[in-house]
Amino acid sequence: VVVAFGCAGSAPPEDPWQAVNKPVFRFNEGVDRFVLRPVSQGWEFVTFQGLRESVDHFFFNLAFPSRFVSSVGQADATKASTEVGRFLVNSTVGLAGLFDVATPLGFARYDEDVGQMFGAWGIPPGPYWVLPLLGPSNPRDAVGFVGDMLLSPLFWLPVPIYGAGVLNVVNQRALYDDQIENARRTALDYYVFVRDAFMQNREAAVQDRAARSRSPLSGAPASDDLYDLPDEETPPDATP
Amino acid sequence: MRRLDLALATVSVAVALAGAAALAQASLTPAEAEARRFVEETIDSVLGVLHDTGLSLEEKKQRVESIAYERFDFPLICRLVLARNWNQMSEQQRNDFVEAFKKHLSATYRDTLDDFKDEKITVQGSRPEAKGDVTVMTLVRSSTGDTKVDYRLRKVDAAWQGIDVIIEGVSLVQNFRSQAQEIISAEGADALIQKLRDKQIDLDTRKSG
Repeated sequence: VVVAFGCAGSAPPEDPWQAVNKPVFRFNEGVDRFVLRPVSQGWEFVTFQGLRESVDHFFFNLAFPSRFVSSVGQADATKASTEVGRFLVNSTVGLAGLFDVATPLGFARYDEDVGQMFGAWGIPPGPYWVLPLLGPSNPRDAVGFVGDMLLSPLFWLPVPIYGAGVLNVVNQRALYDDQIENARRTALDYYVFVRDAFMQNREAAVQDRAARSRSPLSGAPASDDLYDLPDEETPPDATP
Repeated sequence: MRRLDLALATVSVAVALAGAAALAQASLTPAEAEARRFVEETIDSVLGVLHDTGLSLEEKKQRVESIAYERFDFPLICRLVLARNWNQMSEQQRNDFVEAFKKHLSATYRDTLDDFKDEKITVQGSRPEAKGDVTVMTLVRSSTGDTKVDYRLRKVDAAWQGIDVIIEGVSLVQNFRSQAQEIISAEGADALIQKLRDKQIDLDTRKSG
């Protein structure tokens, strides 16, 4: 921990705001450890898996406007119409979204959002940015997130129901507990693990979109030098 | 007469379907076809082990581990993870890193097998990459949702080998490369190897405890 405090000197190019990001990250980790995770464990104790999945499906279905607008904003008729189909099926047969009956019926599930739409328009993400309580982001996706909020039906209720948003967060924390704890245990540097996973995931979500709009077969890999081996050299202690 | 019509219709539909299937097959390069078969075989053998009710959890983990050791090129993965740092490391450090990293990955992976439930895995597609590599895309469907898992494969000495796993767009090689870079530039290669070993001990004690 002492070492972590002492290394704020030179920020790497992929994380110019590291000096601010690291303390905020530690703060978020503390909130998770002492508040969010314990609460989610309580929630896990009083519910069963099927209920937690239904709560998740309910909130996902409710977030339909953001996905629809983002698909339309990228001129993607397939995704937009699929979203409408999913919403109609799951809101009715799926009992207000509690059950995802659309996916088994062949309606693909897309995770579009306003930040990805901005990305498809060519807006760069900007530097990595850890937001208090909200977690990993960047300027583009932070603005996108505000857009997602404004497009949420919960936001426009006559009486704001903050509890609903909290329930969604607690429920998701419970659903992904295994993955999160596994990552924490196995990562060599958890801050870098989260930063890199976030940046790669967002890049891929936008790239996927851009690749598909060019042609269905031209999905070029993002960074191919990743798989280049540096020229073979003998170890330094073996060279004459 | 009616029956003949029906038979003819059935045959023509079958021929059309076979033609379409052949066309879809034809658009695959031979390398892609091989790589897909390699991934399908691997999935089948892993699922075969996991669904084998005669095996204890520990036996299942051991068998899956040996499949992974056989089908992933760990030394190559290590070199990709270390990138330029590989050249600065001594023979001893390289060997230590490969050994520790292999153990680390297998411990991580064994951990996730505990959570394996009723997931369905299907091959969704493939694409040829630079250097003769092939990426095979799969989809893992569980009750909580779908996860995209892609495998990057390379032909090494006439045999296909996995050289990266990309989960929801997050490449394992890239992710470990970032972490390794951070630790090496701050504390050096020996600290990185020590961290891998410490994590290994944590995971082992947790398993037995």
